[in-house]
Amino acid sequence: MRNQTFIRNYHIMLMPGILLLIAFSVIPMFGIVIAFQDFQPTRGIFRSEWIGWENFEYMFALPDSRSIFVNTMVIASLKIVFGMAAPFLFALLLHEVVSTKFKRIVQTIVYLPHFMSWVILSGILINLLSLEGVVNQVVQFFGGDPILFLQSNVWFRVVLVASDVWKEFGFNTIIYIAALTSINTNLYEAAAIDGASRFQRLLYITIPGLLPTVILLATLGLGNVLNAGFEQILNLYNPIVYETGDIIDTYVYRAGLLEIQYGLATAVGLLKSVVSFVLIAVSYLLAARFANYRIF
Amino acid sequence: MNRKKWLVLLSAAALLGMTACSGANDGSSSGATTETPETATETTDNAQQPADAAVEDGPFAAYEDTVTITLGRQGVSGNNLPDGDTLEDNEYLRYVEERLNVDIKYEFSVEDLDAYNQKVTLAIASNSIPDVMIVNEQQFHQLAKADMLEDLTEVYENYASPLIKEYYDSYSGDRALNTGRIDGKLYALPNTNIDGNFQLLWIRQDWLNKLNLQLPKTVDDVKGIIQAFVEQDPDGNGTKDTVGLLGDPSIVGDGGFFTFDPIFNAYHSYPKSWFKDDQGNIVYGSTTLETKEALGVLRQMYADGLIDMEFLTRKWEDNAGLVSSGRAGILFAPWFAGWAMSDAVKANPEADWVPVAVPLDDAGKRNFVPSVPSGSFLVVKKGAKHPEAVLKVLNVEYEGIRLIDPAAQELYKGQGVGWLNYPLNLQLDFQDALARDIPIYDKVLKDKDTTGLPARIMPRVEAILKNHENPKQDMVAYADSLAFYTAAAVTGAKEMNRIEPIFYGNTETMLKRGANLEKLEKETFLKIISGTSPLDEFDKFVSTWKSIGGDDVAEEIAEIVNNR
Repeated sequence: MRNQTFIRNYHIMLMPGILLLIAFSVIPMFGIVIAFQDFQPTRGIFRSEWIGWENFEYMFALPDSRSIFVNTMVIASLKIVFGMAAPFLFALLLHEVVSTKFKRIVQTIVYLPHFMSWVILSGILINLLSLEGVVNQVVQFFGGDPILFLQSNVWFRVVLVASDVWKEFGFNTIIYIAALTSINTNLYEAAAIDGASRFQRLLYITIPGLLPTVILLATLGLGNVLNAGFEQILNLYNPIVYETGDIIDTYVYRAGLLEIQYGLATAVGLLKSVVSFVLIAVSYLLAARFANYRIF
Repeated sequence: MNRKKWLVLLSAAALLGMTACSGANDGSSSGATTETPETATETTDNAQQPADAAVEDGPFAAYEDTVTITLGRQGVSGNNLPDGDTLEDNEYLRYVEERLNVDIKYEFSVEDLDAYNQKVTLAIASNSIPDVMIVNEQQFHQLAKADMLEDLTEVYENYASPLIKEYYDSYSGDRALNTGRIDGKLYALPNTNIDGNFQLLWIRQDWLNKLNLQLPKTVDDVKGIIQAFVEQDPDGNGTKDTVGLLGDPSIVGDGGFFTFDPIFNAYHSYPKSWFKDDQGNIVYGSTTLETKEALGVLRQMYADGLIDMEFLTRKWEDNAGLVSSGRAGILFAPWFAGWAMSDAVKANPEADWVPVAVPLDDAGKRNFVPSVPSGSFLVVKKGAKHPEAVLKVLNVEYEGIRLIDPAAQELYKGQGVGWLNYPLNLQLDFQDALARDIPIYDKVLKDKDTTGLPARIMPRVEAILKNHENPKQDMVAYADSLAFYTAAAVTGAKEMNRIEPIFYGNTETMLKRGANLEKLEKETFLKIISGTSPLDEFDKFVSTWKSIGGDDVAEEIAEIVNNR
């Protein structure tokens, strides 16, 4: 009996969360039927004309649909890989620094960009990367020809990934620093007594200690793979780099909000959701297998 | 985006000064005025509405009980209103309210054009639009298709003032008003784009003088001048910091700043317009062989460094910055760029920007495509209680804008407050509004005699006279003179060859698929010009364009044209 009250209380505490989930995540799900309609705002979802797969057929007939899909995958994957490698390496380096004061200062400086919006950062980036910008002056100093980074399909992704990594690596370093503090210092002392060099200690104690965190973050990142950075790209791109830079989110924004193609935009968005769902399921399985991370 | 905002602002300011001066128009518009001041004084004198004012209904009749209209509009930036007055509460609005007893309530006002369009689109999507707002063509058709608009056919007949009707009637074949009609019914009042909004070539005359160059005649001359500007340090500061021809990512566009229309047109290419070819087929100007040739020319110019290398990432204000800082000396822009150029002169008095007509083609003609008759539409929500009140507000507003009503001349006198602060920013004017004033300015400059000119043209005439006597001393006068007189006169150059498209507006498929077609076109053209793709990419573009909807559009247009 006491046990049942206990469970009931738990369920009551769960209610607000479930209600919010229903209100903001489940009910809006019905909106996806717009993808199968010739949606008219005045008629609403219930009275708009049904057109079956037409929006999807048109989507696949468009030369863009393949490129936006590929772009999303490529940009997001690159960001995950470099976005994880950079803070990992940085945390290792910072870990080796002896002076705590210096450590703190560096940490503060590198995580600052995380708090700036892409609207501001993109303005700065466009200036830095212009023909007369600092970056091109460096390139010219070393004898190279100036490069139009933001107008080049070769460089645009590099700029996207590099600037994203630069913005976020400081903040993500915090997680690894936290993981590092959980490594038992006795291990280091024991290793030192046994004659292990600093490099060996790094290789055999620090890195294995961090690995579970790395694997967990990597697998969880998979579920995020289709979020390639809407705000960043929207503020940096131009028609020339649509080929390598246009992602699902920016496409849906342009088609749906700017060009009033509700049906097509919803169809594209729905495709993204389906793929995301599969990826999240896979990443959860992987997380369970490799990092023993379970919700259920 | 910002370029567009400027365009709107500039042309708006321009239209304020431009009014009809021919005798015929004076006659009929003053016919409308004779009775209105009385109505105005009546309503102002008695806060209690006189009963007889409401008895007779008509274009200027006031309401007995206050009528409220909700309005969504694009706001005005830098609107110069004196302290305490706002867009939502100013003399213009009070003027309208006093004459008509119509209260304008703002539902939203958004300054940035992009943000405004989003706001409108969201309002449409959520099915909650204000009584009246101004929308673009796509939104207009979307609204009409969704049956959200009031039929204005009869309201227009009964309540539009003679002046408003005259503006629309000045467009041959009812071209302007027809853009607001769907299936014969009038669902929107379109704005009217006046003649002469095509691009001119603006050049720094002082740089030409310094390098001993002549004004250009052909595209090759233009290329030569750009090359000299880029390589021979025209500003003499010792560094090679001059950019070439300024550009804009939109490439071509009616009345656009920094677009390349004149280059295309010089090679008989007319992108984004529809024509009939020799065999009678409907042809889209962006897909012709001539367009490929013109793209080839632009591509070569870009490769040779004659076009600003970074034009793709430049915004309107970046280009304006290049102009005012003296790093650019040649660009394409319409006559109303006169105001923008005056900013450059303010920063550097030596800068001497002159407008010249666009380059000649191989036959010695200067080709251009006339403006589409309208681009924005005033729409009234279906079921609005007083659709005619919107027409009345427009009537009163235009009496004010054109300074016809004496009371309107006193509003913010000499304070430089723009007419955009009136509630409805719909631009209306005669098709030939620009050209019809030039002879008057010529005569005034010759005779130095301003007697007999109507009040509404006086501010302009005074500016031109002032600048004529002391050039560049008064920047406002200089800018007005440069735009209305110098540049406007150039739009009437002798060799002008008007290429009339066969179809304006949107078809069913264009509304549905147009965005994707446009994207493909813009992307391909920019890639070809910037050298990212080979010129032959153009052929692939044509076939893709046709397969993803272009052919359907051509068929629809053929049907519409054949049914005329």
